Amino acid sequence: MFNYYIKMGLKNIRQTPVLSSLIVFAIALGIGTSMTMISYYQAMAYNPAGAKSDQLFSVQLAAYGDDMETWGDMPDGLPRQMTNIDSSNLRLAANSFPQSPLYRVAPVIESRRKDIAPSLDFEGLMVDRDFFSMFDVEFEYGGAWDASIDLDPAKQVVISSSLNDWIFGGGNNVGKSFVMADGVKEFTVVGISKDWNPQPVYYDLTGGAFSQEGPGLFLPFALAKDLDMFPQGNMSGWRNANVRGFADVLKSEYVWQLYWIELKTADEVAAYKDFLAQYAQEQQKLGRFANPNPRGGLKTVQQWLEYNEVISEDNRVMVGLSLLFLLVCLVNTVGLLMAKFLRKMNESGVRRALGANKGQIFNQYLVEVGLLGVLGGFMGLLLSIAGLWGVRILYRTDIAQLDLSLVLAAIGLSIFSALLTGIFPAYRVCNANPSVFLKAQ
Amino acid sequence: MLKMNNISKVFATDLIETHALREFSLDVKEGEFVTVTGPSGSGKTTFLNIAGLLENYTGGEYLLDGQDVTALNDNQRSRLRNQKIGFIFQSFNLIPDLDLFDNIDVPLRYRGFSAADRKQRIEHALERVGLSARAKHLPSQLSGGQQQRVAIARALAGEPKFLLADEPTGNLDSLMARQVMELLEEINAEGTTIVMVTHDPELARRSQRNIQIIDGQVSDSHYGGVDSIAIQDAVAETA
Repeated sequence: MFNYYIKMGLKNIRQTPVLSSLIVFAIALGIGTSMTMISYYQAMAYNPAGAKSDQLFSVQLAAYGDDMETWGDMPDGLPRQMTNIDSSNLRLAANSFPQSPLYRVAPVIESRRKDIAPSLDFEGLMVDRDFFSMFDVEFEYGGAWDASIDLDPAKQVVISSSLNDWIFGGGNNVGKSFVMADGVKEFTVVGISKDWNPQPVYYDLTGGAFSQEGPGLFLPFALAKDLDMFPQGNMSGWRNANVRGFADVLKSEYVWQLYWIELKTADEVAAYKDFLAQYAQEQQKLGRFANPNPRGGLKTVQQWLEYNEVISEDNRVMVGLSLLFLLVCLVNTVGLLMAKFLRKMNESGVRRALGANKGQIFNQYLVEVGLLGVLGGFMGLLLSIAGLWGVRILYRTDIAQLDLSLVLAAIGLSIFSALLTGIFPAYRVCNANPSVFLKAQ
Repeated sequence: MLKMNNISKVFATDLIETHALREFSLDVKEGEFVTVTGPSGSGKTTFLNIAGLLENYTGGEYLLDGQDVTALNDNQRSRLRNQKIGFIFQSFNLIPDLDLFDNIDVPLRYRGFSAADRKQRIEHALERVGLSARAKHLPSQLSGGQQQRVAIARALAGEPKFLLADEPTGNLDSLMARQVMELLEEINAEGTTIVMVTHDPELARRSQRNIQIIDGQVSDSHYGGVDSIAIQDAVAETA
């Protein structure tokens, strides 16, 4: 009978094109809106660190004076970023954990290909060698610089596949060099990484949670002083500093770097927490960290994403509103289905007289609603694609892509919603007294 | 074939109770052709709906082909209706969006026949009413008489033992009405029991028995055409 119900359902849909289209559109509108918001929300809620989420820790220090009780409005009173003084101290501290400070730069890069103007479009990350293994940056050619470079800097660089294409036109160019930074400094390529752009950009959320392009190059953190290049992104301080150049920034109490460490066991975490506490006490004794509660903090990737409010309350409200909108669309659909099915009361009466039981009438109409749900799902999917395109334009990022799970979710939700809305109208039709509708046609 | 004993049907609202049928008793033997007449509002349609298992009754007993239908649930009633009863309506009640083939297919689908069996039955039924060439036509492409013949074909396709006809010639001109009546008589002659509601005294006279319903009760029952006692005896013998 199921095939018969499908045949009758398709016939009925064709017989009432306007009403059917309105129903499909009402379902599609609700599905399209809610799926757009849900997929955007899911993209934001995604933790790209995967299995390493509980092993990578963002390090924070209460590096501010005695005139402040907390740092800004942060819930734990700690600044998100770190001073260069502290990151330099931490990376040279005697422990064996993989760790790396981090800040962003925007160097001017010259292509080795002819007729291509120097570019500022490729962002650089100043990191230590451990960064690559900590964040699972994969290489196409070569690898990270030698560990000695972190202590004794050299003009070496890891470039992304995209930058490799831009500078050299692709291929293995490990060992080759290119000019960067004011056109005077030549850097040697030691590694070419696959394009790496985790979303959200959890390793540095100071410039926003999403980024269209990942870093184009990675430079040894130890080169910071030689490069003399101001960082991109936030720079905050708790007191005025006489900053006349980048060298002053390096020595200032401004916070502008991030610091990540990889701790694999609970013991390592406890040990490093102790170390941070001791370090904070030590710095206070040295005249820094003059606040009443000198301390450090560690946050896993998931905690870091939540701490930085990658998913804001507004986003949750928007998802809720979009689901409410879906509900409104479905309520309208119930009305439209009632109108559609009431026109079929006579036919139902005839079918009942000819031997159909209530269940068969109910199933026939529910299958028709299911078909409308499938059509609504596909149309909703098109609207979702348009919605996600809008999100990409608005946020300048390629998050919230259409994938199989979205396709299945949109169609599944649409069919489920349609069936839900169809239950009442189908119930009404199948329970109507058939004799009432048989007398006149 | 159809036996009703003291059937009553009450339509009750908060303010009023309407007795559509009261102490209604009727015994239709297998193979009979019975017409039902009576003024509007007398209870003819209620009787037909109850006989066709489309409506429940308030009291009494109803045996269809020897089976008490009182305690049957919706599924059982639907199955019984599908297997034993064929309906013919005044307004034909063909499904307008389905062609003739698919219209006749409807009761057979619910019966659960195989596709091949259904096809053979539909073709046979259409042939029987002389509309084989119109199988793919929509009802709207046929005359009233042709539509009623399709309705008869639909009622016959499942080979029911019992045909219920509600003023089947009411919407037809006299020529078409006569053709439909002749077809029904032919079907009855082949052994199908027919109960037909009609306002037409001529058709009532052509049936073997006419019962008149007034105020929800059988007020008169007489055998028409020939000597009623002889027919009564003949029917009693076949029962």
